[in-house]
Amino acid sequence: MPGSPQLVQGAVCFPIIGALLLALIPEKSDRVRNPVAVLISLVTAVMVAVLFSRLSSGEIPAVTVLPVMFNLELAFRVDPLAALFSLLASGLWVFAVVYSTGYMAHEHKRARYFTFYLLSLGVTMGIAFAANLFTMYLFYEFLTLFTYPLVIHEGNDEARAAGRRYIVYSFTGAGAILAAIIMTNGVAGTIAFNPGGVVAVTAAAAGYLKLIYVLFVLGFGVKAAVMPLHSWLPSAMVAPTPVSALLHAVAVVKSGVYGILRVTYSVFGPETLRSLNLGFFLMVLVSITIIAASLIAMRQDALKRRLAYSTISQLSYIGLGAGLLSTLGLTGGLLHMINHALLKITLFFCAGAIITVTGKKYISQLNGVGRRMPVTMAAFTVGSIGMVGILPVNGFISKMYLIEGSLSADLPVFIVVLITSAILNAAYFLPIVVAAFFREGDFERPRGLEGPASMILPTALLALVCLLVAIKVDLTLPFVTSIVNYLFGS
Amino acid sequence: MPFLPATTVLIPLISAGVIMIFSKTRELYLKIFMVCSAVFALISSLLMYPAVKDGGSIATGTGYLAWPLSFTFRVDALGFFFAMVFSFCFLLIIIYSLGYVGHGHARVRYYSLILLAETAVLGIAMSASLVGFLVFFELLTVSAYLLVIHEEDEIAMFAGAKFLYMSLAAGLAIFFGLVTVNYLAGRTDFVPGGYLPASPLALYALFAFLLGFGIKAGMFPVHIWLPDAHPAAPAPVSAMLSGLSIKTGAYGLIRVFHDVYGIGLVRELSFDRILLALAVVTILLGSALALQQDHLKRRLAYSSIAQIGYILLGIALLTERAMLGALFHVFSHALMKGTLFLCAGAVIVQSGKKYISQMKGIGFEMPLVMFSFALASLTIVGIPPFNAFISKWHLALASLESGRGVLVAVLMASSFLNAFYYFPVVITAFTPAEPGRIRLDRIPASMLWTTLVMALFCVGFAFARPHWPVMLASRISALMF
Repeated sequence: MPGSPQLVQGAVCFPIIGALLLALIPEKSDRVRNPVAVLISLVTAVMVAVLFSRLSSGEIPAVTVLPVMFNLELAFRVDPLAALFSLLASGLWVFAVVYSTGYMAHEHKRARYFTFYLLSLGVTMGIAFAANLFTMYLFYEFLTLFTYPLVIHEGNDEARAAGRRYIVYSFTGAGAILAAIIMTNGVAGTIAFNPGGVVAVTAAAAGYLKLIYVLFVLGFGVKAAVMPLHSWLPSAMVAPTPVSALLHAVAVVKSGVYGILRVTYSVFGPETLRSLNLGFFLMVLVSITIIAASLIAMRQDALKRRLAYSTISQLSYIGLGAGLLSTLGLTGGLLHMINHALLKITLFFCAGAIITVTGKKYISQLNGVGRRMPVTMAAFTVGSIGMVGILPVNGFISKMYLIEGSLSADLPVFIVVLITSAILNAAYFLPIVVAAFFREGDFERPRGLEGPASMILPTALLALVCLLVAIKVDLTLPFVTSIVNYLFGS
Repeated sequence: MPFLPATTVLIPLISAGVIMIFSKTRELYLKIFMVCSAVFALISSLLMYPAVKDGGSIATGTGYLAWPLSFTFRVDALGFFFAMVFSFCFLLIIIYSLGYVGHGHARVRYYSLILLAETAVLGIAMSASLVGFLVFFELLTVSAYLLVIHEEDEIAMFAGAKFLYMSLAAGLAIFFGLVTVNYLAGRTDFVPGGYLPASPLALYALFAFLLGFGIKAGMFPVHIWLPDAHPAAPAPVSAMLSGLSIKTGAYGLIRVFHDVYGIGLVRELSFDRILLALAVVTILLGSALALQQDHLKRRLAYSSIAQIGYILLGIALLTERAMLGALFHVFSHALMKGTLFLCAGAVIVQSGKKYISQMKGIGFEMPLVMFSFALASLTIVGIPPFNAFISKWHLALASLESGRGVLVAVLMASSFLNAFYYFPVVITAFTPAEPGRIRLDRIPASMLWTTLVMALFCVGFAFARPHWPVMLASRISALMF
């Protein structure tokens, strides 16, 4: 068994090298490329899983790859939070690659697609494992670059416009991050991540520190789709559905959230933020996003756009949990990171399956689609129920902790936000389910399986995982608790 | 037999699953299987009686699932009382459904859903904690919603949507209450006497519970879904909703008052007065609005609002005698409103008539059904010695004992209104439209017999001595205070 430092570097480098080799496979050779692509993602996930399993013994693998300058170095460090994000992303990547082989079967430029899809995997691992702001920034920029070709995959004007918007937003956000990193280095003398934070408050620097934090939040907030920096996300829905599912529900947007979590808990630390009163700033920002995005989602007729606005709303739940600066709140936020990833990727997979099988993209065209695609719509139902937060699908667990966190912080106004959002979620998800099963439409019952097995099976499996995670809270909760204890330094 | 609380819930659950899986089997087998499982659920719930009658309880398992879903099934006398009413009425409703659904569409879906609804109400009665309660509460929302929209026409879809969203809001309110209780006390189970410490937060949570359970129960001012949903549903489903489903809201309130907060804390928060005021408005408003309805099932639905008001009144008074009245009214209202809705469904099946003004002389075309309707009307108005008289008697006495004589006037006024909106139906039905002969009812036997049996149970208990349900209710309320 290779040592942990090798595994850390392997998880980042293997998919990148693998993707570059994959690019050599000719366009027509799908029968070679598809298994290789699945294999690359699977091996990466196994490496991350091994790292994850070693975490329980208290080992926190750290490796310095390349010292660049005096305190700028390319370094990885797999602390519990990194392990959570990397395991979540790499695990779901396997599902998404399998799903992609079905979805992309009739699309053009498959070689380019899979190459960049796997490059993004390596880069996301880099973000997860980053030991300091410099490393994180580097991979964060690369993630923008590598996902751009996926966004413009269709190649038409709409896709180009969406891609342009994505690039402009992301690089502007990254600019803010870079400025904040330089300022942090000036204030703290280090940019390494450390539980409890590296920034200390002095009376003179309070205003300056506030500025740095706001810059960080706005910078990472672009990818985390915090309003008003969100508008690249709905337009990026022009991308193929597996891209929307994985990148725009899990990897890219959660990288932004992950950045906010890192800055909040590993750079500033809860103590500093509490004394600067910045948690409240974050919570107000995300609360507005939660409600406004839900309201906009209700008016979307394109299914993927509705899901995108739902993502914007749900991502801010995690920000809310982070901003509460309490163990209960952070537990809720991290649980929602897991739960939302599982639920939203399921929903997007359903949307993609519907597009592939029936060609329908608009909710108003989906009356009676449950007859044609019963398994898919059953999975969609599970996802919808989870989004609303109804028992027994996993969404309710995170909401429970978020509510308890708001109670313990004595901020009941955020409970109102959460409950309102749950009602709005019900109002924009459940009509889809009802219409699919009970409205008359011209859909026929399927003969055999309702769609390509490589799409339907991952979808059904993920829906089952959503149920399993809710029923066996033991699977997630103890680990999330250990992350929270680690970040709070207890 | 420690497994009984679990089997009572699992029998209909597993049967619903089996019916879904074997939906292609010959329908006769499915029907027999469905009725058998309802019978077994009834037997299973009745078998719990010896263990609980003296204040004991049976618990099954120590958490089937991990926290926070680690709920166990547990039954005590109160849970048994509700489970008995639920499983008995469900058996009759399920048999009645065989004839009512007849040759309509999506029958197999209906069969499995009605068993799921039975699972949900029995699960609510068997839950040992708020978490379990909420799980089955949500199951009831989903299954009842799908039953309400069974016809899939515009009216049903609209009523169903209203029902669904209000029930979901109810679920969220209860969820908030649950999280708050868990936050304050670190537990959510039901313990006689309650355990919650006094705090402002506890009061907010109690308001959330009131909202959640009030929506389910059809309490003013959150009753607005009920007059749409109950008439739009198929008649057996209306009987289930009005007779049983709204009682789960009352059951939840009793559990929260007595087993989570403790009545001392409820009094300290002055919460009983709020509920009392709402109950009075619910009674008067329901009765007054029922008077104006020409649509028979709508009139019955508004009547249910008034009747749930009695039960809430009994809960709000927080005395032993009031609880006896409330519990007995749960029992008698389930039977009489069930009978009335089953009769209304029989009228629709035979004649297609939905409005009272069309029903002139219908008593001569379906004498047995309208006779049952008359019996249930007598019972619900509360003429002595019928069932509702007993509950109103105890409620009135309890009002006097707690020094609130004005409530007696409310009860009397509502009884008068009851008479005004039920007897005209009976009189219209038995007014000959044309001089003609009497013919016997032409509805499927399964519908006719279940209606008659339910009507006989309505009145039968009025004359049975000793009066077993009253004895049971009084023993339960004695245990609670």
